[in-house]
Amino acid sequence: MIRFFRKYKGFAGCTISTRLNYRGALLMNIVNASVSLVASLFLWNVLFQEQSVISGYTRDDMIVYLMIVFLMQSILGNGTEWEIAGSVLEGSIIMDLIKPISFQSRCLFQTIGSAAAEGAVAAFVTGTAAVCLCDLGKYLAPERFFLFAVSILMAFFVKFCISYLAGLCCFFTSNGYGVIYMRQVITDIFSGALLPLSFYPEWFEKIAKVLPFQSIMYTPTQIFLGRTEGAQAVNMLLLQLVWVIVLWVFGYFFFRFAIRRVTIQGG
Amino acid sequence: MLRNLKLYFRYSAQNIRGLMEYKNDFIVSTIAGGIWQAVGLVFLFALFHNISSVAGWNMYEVSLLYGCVMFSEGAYTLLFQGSTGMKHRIRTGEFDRYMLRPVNLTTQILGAQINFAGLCTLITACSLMVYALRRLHLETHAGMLLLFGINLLFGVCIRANMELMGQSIAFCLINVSSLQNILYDVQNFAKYPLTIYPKSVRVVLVTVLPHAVVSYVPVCLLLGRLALWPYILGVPCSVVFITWLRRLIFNKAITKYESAGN
Repeated sequence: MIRFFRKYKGFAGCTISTRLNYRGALLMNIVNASVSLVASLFLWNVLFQEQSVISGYTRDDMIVYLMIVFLMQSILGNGTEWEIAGSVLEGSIIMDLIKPISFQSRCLFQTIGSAAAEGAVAAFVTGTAAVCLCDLGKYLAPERFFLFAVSILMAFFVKFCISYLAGLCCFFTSNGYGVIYMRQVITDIFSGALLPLSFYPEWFEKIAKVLPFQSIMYTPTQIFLGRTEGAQAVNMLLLQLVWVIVLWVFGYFFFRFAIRRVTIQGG
Repeated sequence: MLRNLKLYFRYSAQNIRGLMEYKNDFIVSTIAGGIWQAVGLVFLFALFHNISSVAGWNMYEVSLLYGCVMFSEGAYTLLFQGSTGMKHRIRTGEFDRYMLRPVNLTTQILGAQINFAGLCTLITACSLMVYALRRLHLETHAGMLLLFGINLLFGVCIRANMELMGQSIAFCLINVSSLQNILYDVQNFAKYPLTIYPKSVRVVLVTVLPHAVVSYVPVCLLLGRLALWPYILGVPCSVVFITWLRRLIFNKAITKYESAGN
């Protein structure tokens, strides 16, 4: 286990230093993401002037929800897929194949690196905004926060596994855009990044809860907002863990299958 | 003007031939454009599943706003995608070739690329607007609808100018993709009634970044919330102003161009 970490932690460190090197781009990414956030804050602000509760969410709940989604989106961009797509399309994946490392673990540690750099900035921005815009204190109970931290970690792994699978699809399509956009659209809709799942019609909500995507946004937000507590929260965390394992194993075998299809362009 | 238009079509025909070479890519990107719009539509329908109106606007009225924004985006992507690749051409120094040709630079930039992702967006936008108009049972005469249609074209023109303005900054700063994304995301503001924003934001949305002229103003006119004469005075002024502003910025920025070698 320790050997495993020693082997791969370099990838994470490398990605962090690259990100910190391009500080301007890092900050611009956050500003960029904030534009849509500001637009939706205005929208929700007006909606909550007209009614105090929408689909079980109060104004403060909604602001916290938006902030958590913002934080998760910044931690988990679509960098992983573009990285994989790029290395397949350019043929630089050959450099990974001849090294005694696992491609899946390498991608994971690179994603951890970029998530750490971007997450730190995003956490600062969202934290400040949440404190200014709503009464954050009522959501902060220590044991709930602990569960939230665990669920964020799990959500990260689920999101990574899904991105990894989407990235591997580029082995077959030899084009990044279609697959990656599709993955992003599906995750946005079914994870609750767009709207809390309870806003959807009942049948749609039921479908969303069966799929793995809800582990990415829905679980952490529900735990933080205190909508699921005690045993139910632990159950949701276990469900996240199950999805991590299932998707990781699937990714492992899918890579072994997909690698036979790869065509290296040039040498 | 006529020559530029003719050249633009020549460029585009050439681009289509280029795209046809990679058939799979072509199909995938067309579909991706449509899927991308699904997010906005799901948001719109799910939101109105829970509420009845946004600042007094019902779902079909807001759908019209969405439709206008999507139309301008789709048409822009389909016809003028070329400007998006400009930053790449500046960075690699490929822009030298453009400077050397005896053809208007804007024509060359806009005609450099077309993207069929825009076609799906356009179709989605039109169906959404037709659906909303049917449900609204508006009693407007054909002239209003014609004006609304013309305004959609103004919208495309405004969008193209705004995108070019954003791209001009690539001459000064080498990495502009984030800035360009920021300008793109401002369109989200145009998807809701202007009245939900504070005054400062409204002023920006009708002057420097006139997204409101693309969506809010024509929809207001169609719904009878805006009189005809301020529209007829205002919108052409806005189109002329943004074109003038774009030319000013573009001409200033182009003097900063440094070739990246040969």
